[in-house]
Amino acid sequence: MADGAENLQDKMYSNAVALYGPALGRLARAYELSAEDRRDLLQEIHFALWRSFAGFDGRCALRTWVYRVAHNVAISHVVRGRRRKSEALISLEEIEDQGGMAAADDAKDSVERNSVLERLFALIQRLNPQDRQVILLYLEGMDAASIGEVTGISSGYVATKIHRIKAILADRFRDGGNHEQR
Amino acid sequence: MSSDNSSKELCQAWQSQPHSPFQMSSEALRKSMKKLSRTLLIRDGTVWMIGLFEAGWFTWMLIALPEMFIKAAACLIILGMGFMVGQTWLDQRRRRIARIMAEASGGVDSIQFFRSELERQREFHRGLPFWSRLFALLPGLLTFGISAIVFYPWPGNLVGCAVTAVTLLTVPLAIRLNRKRSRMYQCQIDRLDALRRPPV
Repeated sequence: MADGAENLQDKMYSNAVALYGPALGRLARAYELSAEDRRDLLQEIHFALWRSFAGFDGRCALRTWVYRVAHNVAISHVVRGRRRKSEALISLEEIEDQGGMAAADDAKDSVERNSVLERLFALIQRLNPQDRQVILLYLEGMDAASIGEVTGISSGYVATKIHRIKAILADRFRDGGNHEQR
Repeated sequence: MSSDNSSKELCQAWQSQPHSPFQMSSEALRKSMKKLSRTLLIRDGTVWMIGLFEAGWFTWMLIALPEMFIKAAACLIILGMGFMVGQTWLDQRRRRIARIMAEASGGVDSIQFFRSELERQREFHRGLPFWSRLFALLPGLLTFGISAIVFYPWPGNLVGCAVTAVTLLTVPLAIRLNRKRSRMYQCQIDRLDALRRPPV
C-alpha cells in the first residue's frame, strides 16, 4: 500500500518534470545567477515538488500546484540569501519611476553583456519577491487570473503589474535590447 | 513597435531558452528525505542537551553557593535562561518546520505562504511569547541585584546596584525594540493583504 503511494508520488513527479522541467530551470536561473547556487535551488525545488505530491489533492491544476511549490521554495531561498547579502530589492513601480535605470545600472556594471535575456535576468534579480513572481509567470505565458491563482495577488493587481511590466520591457528591450540606455 | 508586440517577443525568447534537462532520481529523493528527517531529529536532540546542561548547572549552584538569597537568585536566573533558550529554540524549529511543510504544499499560494511566515515572526515579538520570555529572567536578576545590595557591604554591593540598574533599564528598551519589530512585520503583512484586494 505504502509502496503504491510512493510509486504514484514518483509518477506524478516525473510527469510534472516532463511538463514543467524547462520552466523550473528558467525559474531557478532567474532567482540565482551563479551556476552552483542555481543547481542547489533547482534541487531544493525538485525535492519539495516530489514531497508535495504526497498531498496533491487535485483541487487546483497541476500547473498551479507546480508553480506554487517552485515559487514558495524560491522565495524562501531568495529571502535567506538577501538576509546574508543585505541587498535591497525594489518594485516594478520603482523601476518604472526611474525609467529602468536602477536595474540597468547594476546590470551594466555586473553583466556588461549585450544579450537581451541576460539583461532581463539582471532586471528580475533586482525585484522584490511578489513582482519577481509576476514577471516570471508572465514570461512563462500565463494570464492574469492564473498568475493570481499561483501568487494569491488579486487579478486586478496582477493586471496592473502586467501593464507596468509590458511598459518596462518595451522601454528597455525594444529593438532586441540594443537601444541606448538612458 | 508596440509594447504588446515587444513583450510577446520577449516571452517567446524567454520560453525558447536552451536548457539542460534535470530530474532527481528516486534514490536521490529518498536520500534527501532521510537527510531532512535526520536533521530534524538532531535539532530535537539539541534541546534535550540544553535541558540536561541547565539541570546540571542548577544542581551545582545549589550545592556550591553559600548564601541563601544568592543561591535562590542563581536558580531563578538559570531557570529563566533555560526557559528563554527553550522558547527561542522551539520558535525557530516551529518556523523551520512550518516553512519546510508549506514549501512542499501547492495548496498554499505565495502570499499565504509568505504571510504565515511573517505572522510567526510577529508573534515572536509580541503577545504571550514575548512577555513570558521577558519576565522569565526578571525575578532572578532582581533577586540577585537586590540581595547583593542588602547583604553585601560597600563596595561589594556595587555589583548588585549595577545588575539592578541594568535590568530596570533594559526592560523598557526590550519592550520598545520588540514593539518596533512586531510593527514592522505587521506593516509587511498589511502590504501583502493589500495585494489580495483589487486596486483602488
